[in-house]
Amino acid sequence: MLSVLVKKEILNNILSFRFAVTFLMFFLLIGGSMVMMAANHDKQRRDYYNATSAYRERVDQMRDFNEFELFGMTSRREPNPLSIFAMGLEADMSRSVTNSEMQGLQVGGTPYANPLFALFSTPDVAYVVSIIVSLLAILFVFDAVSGEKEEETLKLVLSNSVPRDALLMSKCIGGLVCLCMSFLISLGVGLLIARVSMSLVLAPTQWLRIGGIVLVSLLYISAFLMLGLFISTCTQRSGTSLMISLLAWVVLVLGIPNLVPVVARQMMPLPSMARMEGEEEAIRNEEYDKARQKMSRDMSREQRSALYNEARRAVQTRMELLQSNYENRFMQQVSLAMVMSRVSPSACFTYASTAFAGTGVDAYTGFVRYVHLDFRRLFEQSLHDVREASRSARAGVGAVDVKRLPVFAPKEQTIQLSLKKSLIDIGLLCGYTTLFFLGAFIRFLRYDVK
Amino acid sequence: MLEIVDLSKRYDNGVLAVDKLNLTVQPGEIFVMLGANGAGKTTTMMCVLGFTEPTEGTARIMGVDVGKNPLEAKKHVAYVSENVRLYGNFTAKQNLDFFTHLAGRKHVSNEEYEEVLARVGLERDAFNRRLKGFSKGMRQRLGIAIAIMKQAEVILLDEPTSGLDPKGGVEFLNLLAELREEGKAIFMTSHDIFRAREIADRVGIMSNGRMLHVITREEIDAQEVDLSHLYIKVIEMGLRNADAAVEASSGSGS
Repeated sequence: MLSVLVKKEILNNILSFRFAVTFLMFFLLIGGSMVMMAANHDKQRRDYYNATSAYRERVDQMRDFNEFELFGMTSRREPNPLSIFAMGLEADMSRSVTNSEMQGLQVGGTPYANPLFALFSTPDVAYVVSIIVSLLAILFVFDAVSGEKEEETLKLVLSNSVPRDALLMSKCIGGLVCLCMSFLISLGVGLLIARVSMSLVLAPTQWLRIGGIVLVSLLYISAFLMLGLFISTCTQRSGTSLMISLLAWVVLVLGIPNLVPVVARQMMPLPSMARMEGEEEAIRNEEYDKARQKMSRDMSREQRSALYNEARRAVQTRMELLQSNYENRFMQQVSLAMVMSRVSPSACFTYASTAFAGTGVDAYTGFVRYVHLDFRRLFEQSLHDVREASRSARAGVGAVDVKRLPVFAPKEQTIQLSLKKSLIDIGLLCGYTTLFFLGAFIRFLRYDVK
Repeated sequence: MLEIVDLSKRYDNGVLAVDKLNLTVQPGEIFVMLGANGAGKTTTMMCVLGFTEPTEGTARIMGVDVGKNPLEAKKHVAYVSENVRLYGNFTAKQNLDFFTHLAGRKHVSNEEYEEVLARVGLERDAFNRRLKGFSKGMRQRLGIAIAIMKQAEVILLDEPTSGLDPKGGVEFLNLLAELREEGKAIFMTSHDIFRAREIADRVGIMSNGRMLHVITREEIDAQEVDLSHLYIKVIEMGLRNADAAVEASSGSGS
């Protein structure tokens, strides 16, 4: 019985105009997004290699350390190929870091970046899936039950010895098969074109990560499909189903993920930068005043210097504490926003897909920590080494050894850790899918087919 | 055989749609239930199909209680609605194939499908056409073809002749007569008094949820009852005066 119903659902879907439009949209948007993003990545990769080799050539030509110090030490990060699938915070994680005596550590960025990229969202696969595919999924099934009631085919089907659960299941399976196949075909073709025409090179673990992104995409599609089905079982008319479906989509995809960070900021406010600067100033004044009060005319220069150093250390300790408190509160705010936003399957999908791509919140915080702690230390150590090497060598001959310069390579999360980090979102997507299905199931058992 | 025993349905808003209905349709019999809109015909049909839970009473199809064992009962019944829409993306043959398989039949040959489609009067060039371009009459024929393919003992027809042209109507009645010959128990609701008179073995007149009067083919023929006159009289005079209404309508049959 179920196979007859599933076969009919799939055939009915495939023969519909709606499926033709959906498939075309999937193909154009997902395939197109893959090709465009791969081309963009290809260019970024070429730029990276060109800039790195130009920098090395330049350093090779330097005659002494002073020139090197003046020029600064720049290290570049290789672009992440998985950003093709989920750009996430990749653009916010700088691809270069420069350290010079004059300006200290500077995270790169160009003043000539196209502002439109910041103004509009990047059309990566995750964006297309999150916004467009979810809309198409919900529109694919919004009238699966209410529309059949209007067409009176529901009555005719149920006048046979057909269990309602089998009928609902067939609608789920039929919808899932059609949408998931469209998605996978579009993604596969896009990936193939990107591989063939843009020499996209991926490591085996990156293929696993792509598998993770595909998995969460399919779960996300399922969640919206079940939501559409649930809405369809709650209404008697397809027009009403359509309105409610669109409303639900707007709330879940556009409303919650965009509003929650603002709400979290209100619920857990952070001190303003002006207030932070004021507190820093107060700490400095307090500690140095204390030191000044302890100083007397009969103190030796060494004693004064010791008091000054003590004050400087105290300032540094308190500043670090202040900074640490701020960072903790900031992270609490981020965590609160993440927890609240998980009410939306769209947010769960974004967190999980970017976690697999290495462009998510964890990757970003790891990146910031790497730049400001690990890499700064590495940089300083390298500068010291280069300086020593320069001093010991005769000026002009091998003063700067390019090979000794640090490589800017933030630690990538292991696939296991990415999976662990995204487990909660995968679980929630499964939960939403199950919840909406159960809702549809309960509603459909008592659905008035008359 | 279809049996309806003391069937009542009161909706949540208090409306009594069907009131203590008792009815039996034997194999090889066509029972036509006449009634105005809101008389309770469709509610009765929905109770028989298990789509509406009766407040009291029961319906049995081939002895199987619809309320207790709806899936088993539905194996023995075929239903044709007033507006047969079916699946517009499918061809006539694809629709027939789906509903035939849904009825539990396997290994049905293409010839059998074509034979049934031809039998219900569908033009051969329409067999493989998508239903989106079908007229109401063509859909109605296909609905009957689906009912035939199910090979059910009981056939329920909800206003099946509405919207049919005269030729289609005649062909439809001939088809029903054939099904009766095959031993099907046919229960049909209708507004169409003239077609009811032509085909029915018994006619029931329903108003406000109550079966006011049932008249047999023999009574209609013997007393030359004008069915339309009888219908109006019965509705006007109500249950208690139904016999008087029959008397008033006798001798003027058309």
